[in-house]
Amino acid sequence: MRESQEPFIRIRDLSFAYGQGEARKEVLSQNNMELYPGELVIMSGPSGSGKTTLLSLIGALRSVQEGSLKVGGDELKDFDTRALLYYRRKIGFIFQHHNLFPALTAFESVRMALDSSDLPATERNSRTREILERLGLSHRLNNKPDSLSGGQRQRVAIGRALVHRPSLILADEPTAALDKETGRNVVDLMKELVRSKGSTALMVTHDSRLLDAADRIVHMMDGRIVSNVLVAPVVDAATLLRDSGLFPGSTPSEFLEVAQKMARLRYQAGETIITFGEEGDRFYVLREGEVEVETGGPTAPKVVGTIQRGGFFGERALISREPRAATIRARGPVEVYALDKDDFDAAIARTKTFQDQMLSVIFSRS
Amino acid sequence: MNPGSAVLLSWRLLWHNPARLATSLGALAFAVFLMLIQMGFRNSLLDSVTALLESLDADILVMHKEKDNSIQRETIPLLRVQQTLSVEGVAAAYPLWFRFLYWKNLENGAFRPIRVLGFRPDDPMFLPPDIRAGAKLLGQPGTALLDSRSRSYLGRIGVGPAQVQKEGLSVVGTFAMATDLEVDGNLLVSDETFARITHQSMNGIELIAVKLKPGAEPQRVIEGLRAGLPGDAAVRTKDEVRAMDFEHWDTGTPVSLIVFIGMAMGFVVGVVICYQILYTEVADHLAEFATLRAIGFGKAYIIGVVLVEAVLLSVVGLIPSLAAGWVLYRVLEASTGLLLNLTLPRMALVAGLTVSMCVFAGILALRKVLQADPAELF
Repeated sequence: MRESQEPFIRIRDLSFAYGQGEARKEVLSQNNMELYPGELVIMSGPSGSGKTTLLSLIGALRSVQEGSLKVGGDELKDFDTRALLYYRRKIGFIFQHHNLFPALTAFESVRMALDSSDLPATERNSRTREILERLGLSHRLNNKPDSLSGGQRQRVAIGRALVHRPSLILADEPTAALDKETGRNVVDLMKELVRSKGSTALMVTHDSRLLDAADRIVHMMDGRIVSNVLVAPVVDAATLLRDSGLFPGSTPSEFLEVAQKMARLRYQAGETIITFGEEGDRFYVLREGEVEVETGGPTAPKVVGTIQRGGFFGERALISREPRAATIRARGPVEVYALDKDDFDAAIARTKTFQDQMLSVIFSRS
Repeated sequence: MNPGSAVLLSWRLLWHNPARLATSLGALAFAVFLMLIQMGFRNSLLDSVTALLESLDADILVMHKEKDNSIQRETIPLLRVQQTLSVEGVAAAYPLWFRFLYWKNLENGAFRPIRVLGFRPDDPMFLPPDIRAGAKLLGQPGTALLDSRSRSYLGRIGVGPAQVQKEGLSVVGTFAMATDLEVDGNLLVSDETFARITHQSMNGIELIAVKLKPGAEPQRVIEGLRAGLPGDAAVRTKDEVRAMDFEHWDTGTPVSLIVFIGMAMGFVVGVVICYQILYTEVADHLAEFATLRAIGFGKAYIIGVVLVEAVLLSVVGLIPSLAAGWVLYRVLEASTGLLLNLTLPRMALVAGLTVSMCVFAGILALRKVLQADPAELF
């Protein structure tokens, strides 16, 4: 699923290697990705797949070697030391280890993250208290790490990462040391920040219980992003495909796989989506709004019906290789999920069952 | 960045582990001790060799021109006293004789050198009240005052019979002066007793303590003395003689160099100890420092934390070290007879050296903390 909004982070052909000469080992290879404001992204993948290196590059903890990594439109490798420092102050880092100074109390550890801000002391204190209360640590404000449990320490570290309301949150297994309820609470807090402030969160986790919180799920394998799924639209598109009754025998993963390849397109009232007589290039599922179906071509145009949310069109020309038999026009603002011809063909060719069902649909329409 | 935050963090890091801090302070105190002892010996040397000078109630001193320190034996004729008195502005001129003679330890019969100081008991030429009071007892020939700081191997220090060379004496009182590298003890006698036990002419005197008339201009009197006295006499203020003595002992002998090397060793040992303390502190919190860097704290902040901790360590370590040093000085003074004074300027010097030592060690430890790589945190 592809978005049309301006990303906060844009990665292009990003590669990274450790070592030099014969010892050189490439851990990231030609990666592309966008992270948008207001988005919580979950990144998964086996150990050694490059997730951590990617996190450290986005967090400017390592320098970009090859490719491009842009923050708000500016190339990160062009940042000088001072700019990098300011950039990092806008990030909320959550590491696997809490890394809290054993000499500082929970309150002091969290408040440190506000030291670079211009906030008055009273505001810093109240924000610190607020986030620690939110993390269920109001009774542990003056405790030092050695008198806190593992989960409590991790929550203090999370408080330190979020108290300054960062524009970008980079988290590496933030809930690994937490119980289910606390883990959910932490993710809700991140989600709340993402929604209210338009922050972007990138979280590495293997905790499948948190997947429902993700706006996007990125999967890495052998240094490459092998899957980058915008969850809500893909689930929506897959649901529409399932509810359409087109593919009754398909599994959820087959629906999702097709849905992932669909683009989300918007049309204004009166705009033509498909033109009669043209070669078929896409298959469409209507997400929102209403379209009219006009047959007869330019010489004898006739609106023969309308399609609403969940309806689909454009498949016949792709399968039969014949020109479009109708013009489809938006009646109002319309959003559709569109699948390219090649992806459509691939989806059909993949399973005989799928193909047969499509043919049977076409047969039933003719 | 809020500098108060760096100070708070440094302070907390320092006090976080009291057991480690106690060990660190012990080690630091050891280094400060080394410096205090060496400095104490140096100052003791200088204080002791000028103890006689400091005890004189004099504005100006006249002595032989060849002397490069006040203890050196070189006499001028007694006549110079009268000549001095004839100069305008001079209120009084008191001659002093001294000679190193052998004192007999009556407990074991051993003879040890002692400095015998001869003066006219009616001359108020000494400042210490114990000498002024004791001087009244010296009118009787064969009496003496004994320095209570004289070394113990001279035997019993107190009132009673005594023997110098072959002459029997009676110690009628004591006073507190000092011993030094040359002097194991002091015996104060009248000029008459001095002549009796030395069997030498009293014509040669070691120095003349000159008192000025009230309102007299010292520089003018000095000029008058220099013009009026023959060429064998040198005229100096008390401060000039003190500086001459310091110069002689501080740079003219190897003692000062040895002491300087000792102090340098103490400083180096201190740097090593402080470095170990700070390095361990930093190494234990490397991940935390790396986290600070990751979340936007600059190198300056990290450097500040380590250096402030170094300064705090030195300050915290200094107070018990100086207190213990003062006790040590008293013990050494009692057992050696050397003057060991821990004055404010000397404490300031040790404080300065200790802070410098810790800051230098902190700078060395910075290399480690600046290696903290935030990229390793993920």
